[in-house]
Amino acid sequence: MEELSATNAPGEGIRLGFDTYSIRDFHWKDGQLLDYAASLKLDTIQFSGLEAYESLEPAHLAKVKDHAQRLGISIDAGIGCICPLSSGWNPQEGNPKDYLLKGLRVAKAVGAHSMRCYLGGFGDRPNLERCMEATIQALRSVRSEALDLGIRIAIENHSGDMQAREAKMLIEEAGKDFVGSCLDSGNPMWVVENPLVTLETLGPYVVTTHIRDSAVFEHPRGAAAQWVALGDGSVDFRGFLELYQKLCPKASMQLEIITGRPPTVLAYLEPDFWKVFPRAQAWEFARFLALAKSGHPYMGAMVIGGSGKQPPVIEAALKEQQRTDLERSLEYAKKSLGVGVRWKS
Amino acid sequence: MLRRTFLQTASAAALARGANASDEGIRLGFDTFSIRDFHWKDIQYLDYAAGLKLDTVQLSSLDDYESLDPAHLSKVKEHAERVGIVIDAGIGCICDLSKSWEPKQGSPTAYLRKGLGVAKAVGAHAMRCNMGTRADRPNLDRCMEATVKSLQSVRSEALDLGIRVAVENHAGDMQAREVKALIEEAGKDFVGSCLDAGNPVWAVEDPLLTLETLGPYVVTTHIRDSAVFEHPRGAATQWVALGDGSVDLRRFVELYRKLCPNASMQLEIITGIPPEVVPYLDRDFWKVYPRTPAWEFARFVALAKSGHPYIGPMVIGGWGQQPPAIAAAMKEQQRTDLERSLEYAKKVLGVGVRWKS
Repeated sequence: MEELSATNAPGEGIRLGFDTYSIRDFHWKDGQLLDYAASLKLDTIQFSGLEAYESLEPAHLAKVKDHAQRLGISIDAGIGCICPLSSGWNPQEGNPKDYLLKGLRVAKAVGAHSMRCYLGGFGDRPNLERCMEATIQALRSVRSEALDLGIRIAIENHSGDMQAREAKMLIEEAGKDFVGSCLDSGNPMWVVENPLVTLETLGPYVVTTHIRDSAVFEHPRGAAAQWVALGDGSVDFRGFLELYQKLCPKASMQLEIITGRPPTVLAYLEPDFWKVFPRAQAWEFARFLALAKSGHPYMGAMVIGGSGKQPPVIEAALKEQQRTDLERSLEYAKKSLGVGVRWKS
Repeated sequence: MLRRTFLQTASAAALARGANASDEGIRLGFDTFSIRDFHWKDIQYLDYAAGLKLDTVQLSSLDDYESLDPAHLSKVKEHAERVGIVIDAGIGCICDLSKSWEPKQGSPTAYLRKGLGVAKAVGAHAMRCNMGTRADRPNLDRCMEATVKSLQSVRSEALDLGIRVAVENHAGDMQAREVKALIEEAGKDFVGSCLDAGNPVWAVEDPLLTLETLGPYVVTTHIRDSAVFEHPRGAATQWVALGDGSVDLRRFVELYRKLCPNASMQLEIITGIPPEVVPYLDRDFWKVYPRTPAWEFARFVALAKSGHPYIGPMVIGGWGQQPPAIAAAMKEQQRTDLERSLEYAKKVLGVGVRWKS
């Protein structure tokens, strides 16, 4: 690992943390997650789902806030899908407005200033315009509450639901005074988008993030991409950080490390692939092509599980890997990119 | 003896004869290295092979035996006959100039004799061994000479015992052309090939070319598939379960039936190792391949151009000590990848005799 001095570190001054999804199989709750973040000398953490809390009772959330303050960890909050037309919508949440309000209250109670949420997934792209309209409507329905509570709602480019240009349009349409971006640097793969294009487009709106690396490489059907630990992939993170410094230096860099999944083929050489990208721009796609041409498959060790339920020994190995890959990614962010504040003191 | 038992034993004995008629089909089995982390011994391996309705097993190392006492080996032979499994025997490195040579074996002649004695005792007609690894290529000529000498030192014993010594193309030590030269120099009346279908990709060789070259000498095998694909430095390769890779196995089996139908097809499935770069675009790479013909290399280039990386699930650790959770997952994977490879060999390639009956 190439280590940097503070003077040439592109990540200087950017707060470092992680999204709790990175270590989901540990089933830790708020207090444990905060202690773990503090033990790694991090600055921040993203509780990206309400299940990260032991309880949503105000008294408990007040304790979480106190504990975070005591440890010096700032919390970014989060909820899930807010589009009732999406296949990812959970009807148990009642309606999007109630769900958003619930999330905003939790966020406020733990002292967060941002709350991540998302529209849907790749499966929603055939119905994208209607989903975007419904999401905008849901967001606008809580505008006054969000502004009163001082919380920016951060829409994630999630699981191939939107390209950056589309997420930007949604943010502007909903109202950029209370809606921003939870920029995910891994999901652009599923929409044949170079993560640097994502950052260039969404940078001015970024409130919080999900940062991970991807190995991207050419494949007979187009390209293939696999999420990997930071530094193991094809993304130019030095260039990414230089741009981050310019566009959104105050946004916390939350690593969301997801390894253990096989590469996904992006069959852009097949005409059917483009049916759900009717307005994708050629110049943007060319940036992805260049990335795929410059990359190669990940050649290191990784436990790669299959789809569905895994045998217990494979599950145990995947769980172990979640922690080791997150920790080595954090080390890379600190030592090679110079990201993070607290670990330097 | 009950009539049923007699018939089972008779049928097993028929199967256990050294050579099978080519119209019977290719015998299917596995090399015990495929499931090394289970640390099983001879009888367990034989029972496992029989449970999978296989025809043969390669006990590729002396460590595979519970004991090397003649009484125990005799029991192993009887058990193999009873369960209808033909044993191919095996030992390790026989070149005392190789970096892999184990001095505790005394001398190559003594080690070969020990292996031949064990092979005979368990009823084997073939004994696999190897020269070295790719680390020996800078010193290849001298290693080959030493290996030929070792082999020739046990010629009369091997012929008397009726055992062919099968030299493997092992871990990138030799290309097929070199193995063929070694076999012919040592004496093809008692030396043959343990054809490994995975190791050629470490030596920039298309496994089909390996089979074309060594086919007439093949006595036993190590069969596995490899994902081969282009890489900025040349190509990269990864060993995968049968059917998951880039090798045209249907053509491979077609050629196998023509060239060596009596050789047992022993699957040696090795997964869990990351892809390995074969940097043939770097000039230095060629220092250890001074005599490789371009036409042979071109076959490998074509294979790499046609392939792509393996993109399925796999626990990828490495060769060394792994954290306990990863080691447990890799152990489990050894068995599942061997079993699905055997299924592929049976159902897709039509290999094996016993499972069809």
